[in-house]
Parts: sequence; C-alpha cells; structure tokens
Amino acid sequence: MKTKLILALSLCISFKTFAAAKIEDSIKHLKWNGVDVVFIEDNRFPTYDIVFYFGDGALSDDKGRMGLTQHAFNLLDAGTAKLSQKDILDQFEFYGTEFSSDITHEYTTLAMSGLSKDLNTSMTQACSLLREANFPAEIVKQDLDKERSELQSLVANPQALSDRVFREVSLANTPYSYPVSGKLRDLDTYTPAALRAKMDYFLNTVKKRIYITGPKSILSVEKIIANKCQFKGNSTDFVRSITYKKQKNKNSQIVFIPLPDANQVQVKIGRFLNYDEIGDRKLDTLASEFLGGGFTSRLMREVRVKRGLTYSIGAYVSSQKQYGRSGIATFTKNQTVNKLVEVINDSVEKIKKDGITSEDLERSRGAILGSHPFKFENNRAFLAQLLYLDHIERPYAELFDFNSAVMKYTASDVARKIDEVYGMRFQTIFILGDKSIEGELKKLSPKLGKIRILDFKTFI
Amino acid sequence: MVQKKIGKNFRFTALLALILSGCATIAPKKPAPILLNVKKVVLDNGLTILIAPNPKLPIAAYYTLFDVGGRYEVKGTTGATHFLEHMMFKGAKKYGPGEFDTLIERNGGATNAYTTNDATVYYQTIPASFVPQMADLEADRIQHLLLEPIGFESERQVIFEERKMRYENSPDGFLYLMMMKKVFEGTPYGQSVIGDVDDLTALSRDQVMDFFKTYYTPDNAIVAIAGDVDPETLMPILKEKYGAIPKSVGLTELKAKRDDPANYEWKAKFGAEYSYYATNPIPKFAVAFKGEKAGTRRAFILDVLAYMLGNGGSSYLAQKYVRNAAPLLSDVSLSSYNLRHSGVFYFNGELMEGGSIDKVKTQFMGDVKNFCKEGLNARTLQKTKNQIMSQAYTQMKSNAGMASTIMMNEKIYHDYSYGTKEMEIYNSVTETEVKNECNNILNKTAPIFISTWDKYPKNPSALVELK
Repeated sequence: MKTKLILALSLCISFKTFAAAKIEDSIKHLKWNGVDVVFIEDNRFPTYDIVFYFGDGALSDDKGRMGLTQHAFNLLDAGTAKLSQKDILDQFEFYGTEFSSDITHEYTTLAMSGLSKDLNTSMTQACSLLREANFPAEIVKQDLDKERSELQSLVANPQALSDRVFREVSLANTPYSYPVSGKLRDLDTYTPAALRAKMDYFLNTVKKRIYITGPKSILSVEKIIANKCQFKGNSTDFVRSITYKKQKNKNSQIVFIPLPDANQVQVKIGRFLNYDEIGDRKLDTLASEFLGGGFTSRLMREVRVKRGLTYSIGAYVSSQKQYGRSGIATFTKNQTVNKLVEVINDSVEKIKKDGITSEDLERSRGAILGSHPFKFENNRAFLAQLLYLDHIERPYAELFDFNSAVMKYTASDVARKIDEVYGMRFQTIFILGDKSIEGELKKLSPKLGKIRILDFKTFI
Repeated sequence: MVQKKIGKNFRFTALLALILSGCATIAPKKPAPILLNVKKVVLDNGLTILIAPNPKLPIAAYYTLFDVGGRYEVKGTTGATHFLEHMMFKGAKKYGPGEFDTLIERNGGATNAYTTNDATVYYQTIPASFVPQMADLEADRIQHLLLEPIGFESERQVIFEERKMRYENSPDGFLYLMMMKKVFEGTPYGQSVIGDVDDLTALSRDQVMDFFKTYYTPDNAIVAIAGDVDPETLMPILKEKYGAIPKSVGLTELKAKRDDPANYEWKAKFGAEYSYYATNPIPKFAVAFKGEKAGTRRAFILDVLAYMLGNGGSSYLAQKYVRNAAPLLSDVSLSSYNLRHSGVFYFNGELMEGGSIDKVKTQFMGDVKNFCKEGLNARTLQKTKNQIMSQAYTQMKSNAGMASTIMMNEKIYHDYSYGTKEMEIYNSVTETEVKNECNNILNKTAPIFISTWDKYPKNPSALVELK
C-alpha cells in the first residue's frame, strides 16, 4: 500500500512540476476582433491545428427539420458561386489540409489542420466557404441520396445501429434524444436556402471562440479570420442554454430490438443524467474506470476473463454542460445474453452491497492519474479539452489540478457513485438481436422490468 | 485483436525535416535527409532493441514485434498465432494470471496487441517511469508463459465472439476476408488470421504452446521504445531483463522453408467471380488484382497509383462514381496492400440504394481500362506526394507512431531509419512510371471480382467466369 501511495504521489508531483513549468504556461489568451482566442505555441512541427467553436448546436434545429445544423456544416464544401465542390475538395486535398466539423446538441466545432506554411491559403478558402457556400441543390441531393443509402445499410452494422437506437431510447422524453444528424424523414427538408440561413445564423448570431496551436508564425491568420471570415465578437453573442424539467429516475426497463438473422446480441445499459448529476466529472471518470475501463475493470474481469462471455465491455459517463448520459456497452452470443445481463447486474449489486477495496481504488486511481499526461501528447486533443472546459464553464485549473482532486476520493465515494449512475434499478437495458431470443429475455423481466419491443426502422 | 492490414498503402517514418522543403508546391526542392535520434543495439541472443528518446512529456510507448503471423499457420491450425496473442495476457511465471494488465493499468498505462498475416505486435503506452518494469513484464511472459487450461478455454469463447464482430457481423470485414482467401488461395496468405471456426474449435493448448516455443524467441523479435527515456540508462536494464533468454534453435531454417518464394506463387483463379451472402442490404464488391510485396520500387509506385486514383473526395474515382449527378456508388476506394512476400491491389465499392450489382459490375469492369488514361496527371501526382508528406507528420507526432514505424522499418528493411529513403523514393516516382504500372496492372492482368449481399443465397456461391 505504501509503495502504491508513493508511486501515485510521485506521478502527481512529476506531472504537476511538468505541467506548471510547460503546459499551463504555454496557453495564451488573445482577442481577435472581439473573439476570444486560445493559443498554444508549438514549434516541434511546421504544422497547425485550428478549431472554431460555436456556442450552439443541434438544439437550434426546428422540429420537422432536425439535423439541419449538422448538414449545413457538413455540406460547407458543396460549392460557392465561384467554386465547384470538386475545386474546393481538390484545393484542400492538394495541400493535405484536413477540414471537418463536429456537432453536438449544445455546441459546434469546425476544425482545420495542415502544414503551417499553407494555413493562410487554406483559411482563405475556409472563410469563403463559411461566407459564400450556396449549397447547390444538385450537390445537396447527391449527398443526401448517399446518406439515405448509408442509413438503409445500418441494419448490416449491429453495433452502429444499436448505438443510434440506444441513445434515442435511453434519453427518451428529454431535449437530447433526437439524433444530431436527423432521421430519414428530415432529409427532404434541407433546402439550399435553409442550409444557408442556418450557416448565417451561426456566423452572425452565435458566440464564437478560436483555439489554435502551432508555430508563432501562424498567428498571421488573424487578419484573414477578421477580414475574410468576418468573425467578430461581442457580449450579446448567443450561447445555447435551455431549461428542462428534471427527469425523475424511472424503474428499469428492457427494450428489445429484433434484428433478423443476428448471430450476436448487442447489449447496452444506461440512462439520462440530469444537470445536477454531472457536477463531479472526475469522480464519474474514476467510477467508470473501476467498473468498465480497460482490461482490469470489474466488468471485464467478471464478463470476459472469468466467463468468456464477450470480447469487450466498457462503461462510460459522457456529459455536456447541461446533461449527461451513462452507458455500459458489450455484446455476446445469442445463447448467453441472459447470463451476461445477470453478471452485469450482480457485479453492480455487489459493489453496492460490499463496496470496493482500497486496492481496487488504487488500481483505478493509478490508471487515471498515470494516463493523464497522455491527454497532452497530441495538441489537438489538448485543445479539445480546453474547448470543453470553456464550454462547460469550468476553469483550466481542473486539468492541471486533476491529480490532487482525484487523490481525495475514497473507496466509498466510488462505490456510491457507481450505484448512483449505474444502479440497475434505473436503467434502460437495451438488447438488439435475433427474434429467437425474445422468450429468454422474458425471464429477465421479474428482476429488471417490463420488456418493450420496438422496430429499429422507427429510429432511422 | 486482429489487424487486417499492416502497411496498407503507405508507411511513413522518419522524414520530418525533409518535408519542410517543397511540400505543396508543384516543383518541390529536393528534400534534405535527416538523422533520427535512435539508439540501436542487437543483443548476443539476437534481440534487436531500438530506443527513441523524446523528453516532451513523462510518458513512453513500448512496442514488441515477433516475426510470426498467420502466414506460418498450416491448415488445421489457422488462428493459432492470434490465439497465442490473446493468451499472452493471461499469466506467466513471475506475473501470474491477471497481474500483467493490472500492473500496467494501475500505473496509468494501456496495453494491447494485434496479429496480422506477417507479424504479431504487442504495445503499451505507459508512464516513462514504468519502462523498466514493463521490460520485466515482457521478459517474463516471453520466457515463461503459463497458458493455463481454464483460461485457454474461456479465451476460445472470447475469440469466437471477436470473430463474429470482425467478420460475420461486419460486411466490410467479411468481404475483406473472402477477398484475401480467394486472392491468396493456396498460399500462406490465403487463410483467416483470426482462424476458421473448425480450426479454432479444435485448436489445442499444445499446438498454441508449440507456436510460442518456436517463434517467441529473442532473435525473432524487435523491441522499440519511444518517449521520455535515456538510452544510456535504459539499455543496461534491458540487457539485464532480456539478455539471458536463449536464442532459437532451428528457427532460421524453419522460416526459410516457410518463406520459400515458391510457397507464395500465385495459385488463385484470376478472372473468376464469387458472390457471397452477407448481412448488407445494399451490395458491396471488391475487384482485386495481383499486387506487389513490400519494399520494391513497384510497391511504392502502386502505393502512389492507389492514392492518385482513389484518395479523397476530389480523386478520380470519387468524382467518377460517387460525387456526380448520377452516382453509381455510395463509396469507392483503392488500396495497395503490400505484404512481406506478396500483395494485392484492390478496389472496394458499395452501390447506391436500388442499384443493380450486375449493371455496376459490367460498367465498372468496362471502365477500368480507362482509369490510367483519365485519372493520372502531374497535378494529381504532386497532390499525392504532398498528402504523403502531410500524413508523415501525423504519424510521427506520437511516441506510439515513432516506436511503431522504426520497429516496422527495422523488420522489413533492416533499417529503422528507412523512412527517409521511403520519402526519397516516393518523391522520385514519376508520372510515366505510374502510368506504366497502371497499364500493367489494370489493363494487362485479370482481377477477381467478389460481391456480398443479403439477397444472395446463403449456400456457397457457384464459380462464375468473368467475361
């Protein structure tokens, strides 16, 4: 025990020293035309990463036209009055420039990376897309036809299909259940005018921040962002924030999605987390690490190592500013689905009943403390963490005081958190598999709740 | 874990400085070579150790490669190499069952492995302070693997589930598996790396132990470490941990026999067509030509060719089949997979909803002869070179990327710094060379056409000759 503590402390000290001397000091705050900019100077490579943050996301989409935000950003390269989609793609690809967007319910990011000497050229083009993309109808149609095709093919990808359906089912009756990407029925509503209007809304109304890393020379891009992208910031810029009625914990339920000819069963167990349940993210991380992180987690040991029931199992809590969700994700063969669910149930119950040992705690604590420096190895990932902290309105100190904060948690804190988040009495137990397992699943009902059978097509 | 494709398309290595000049220009300056900061030592027992210090953060990547993969399996033992990879995590003499990964994860590390046709690779990302103990853990399991019977049986079930996940429930994985089986039929590459179900069911602990004793020897391995480590301090520790492990007996002769070029001569029926039932409701297909083994100039040219025709939304193939007013396909790609002793050059495509596989096949196969004329030009060649260089940075930014690339180059080229030469070769490829190879492979040889669809009968397909 003493050895472990010394090890943990040494990790803590060495990283803290390193962090204070290098990482924390490397973050610079700038202001470009009223827009907040976070810059990390990095001279190791002649490359850059830049991320534009927008303080709104899929929650801005109207009913009947959900998914519009994601498509407006994804189709930015569809064309302008001067450039065809081929020209645009060719220009980015010629320079090896990566250009992509990511939309969540609460916020949106647009990221670009490449060689620093090409930044101004690529940024000029990116700005022209933001301001001048006209979403040509024929290109939009092609893209949406392709998307329809992909959605129809989801049936052949049980893991992806179960991810999509589980999210909607487990977050049902909350503002966050509808897929960010919309559904098949929404695709017909994305007209060029609607897409352009959505982009204009983000450019002219929504709060923006810029996160950038690379050699100091890349700061010359400021003029292009101000003049070509016409980014400017002021205190009235809009940031999405909603009020929703706190969700009461519901009794557990089993949701079964029959999938023809499936020879493997996808199992997901999770629930919605209210705004007041996501305040202690480090404890969420520690609890999830203990329960379902890595090869030595409780569930991996019980389900895979001892019983050979699956290839992988993991547990997670993910949260944005105002909500979160928890999940346990795994799969097994048709014949062992009940056993798998029962082992998970028993494992969580045992933690509630018996708690966890200090040795268990130290293993999980060591895991997240020791892996913490890896969050800084890649500057893009580092930027993403700063962006996230800004979004949830938490100080960067949370990143650098991570170790000392984690050291404060006790074994009972972790056991309590696992029960609160993963306790089976409140979960949606989602099972996607062949119809033939329905009879077996009914045997789980007395302990884990009623079975609802849903058609996956409803969720596409 | 099984990795399907090692070295698919491009392998980038130590080339950072040379990228500085000329990238993204039509007429790049000749790049200046650089020297990597890598310490290399070969122990008396034949173990090659590479250390690449990087003091940026107190972390490290620890890679171990064994030169054994699916290609050394014979009928009846397919999957043995991959099974052994799983069992390497289940206990040895000093660090018993559960201790290996517990120690690593408790210290903030992560560990995993992959098996390919050519190699088995174990890797860890760990705090730099843990590197000496990592060496102790690796040295223990290399010498004293337990292969406990109870753990062996439960792991067999785990592998069955992995197999379903990767192949049976993954139309892309299944199409790839069937393509490899057909293209390399009758050669050591024509077998499933994860193993056929019957073989996996019958595989015994003794057979797996035999693989372990035969191939897990220091003279058949490379250890590569990148991160916040001092080679002068670390090397004596590694010598102490690994130095006493005896070298192999007879392995050189065995490998020479297994790697005999005659074993890799083409035996497949090129010009044939196969169709298989899979779960995809929209047809997918592969068009596979005879490719090239890794390391030859032709292999580099085929890499460039694949990139020129098929990489990115602006590429010839994407524009011709996906991004136009009447798209034939929802997705298309082209890859040159260069293995150690052979290779495959193949297109992948997925139809648009409602498309006819017969019509698409006819059109695509008719179009192939025009690809070389229509899809290749000087600008696309330069674009490809720029993309290769840009990607090289991404590869080298992490300790894992560094350790992995110097290790693979040491294995394939016996030169950890071969990346510099690789970039010189890529930069030297001319438009004429690409066009010539394009014609040679697409217009003078016949492919194998494979498609999967949930409307096909579940019984094995009949062999059909391509017109």
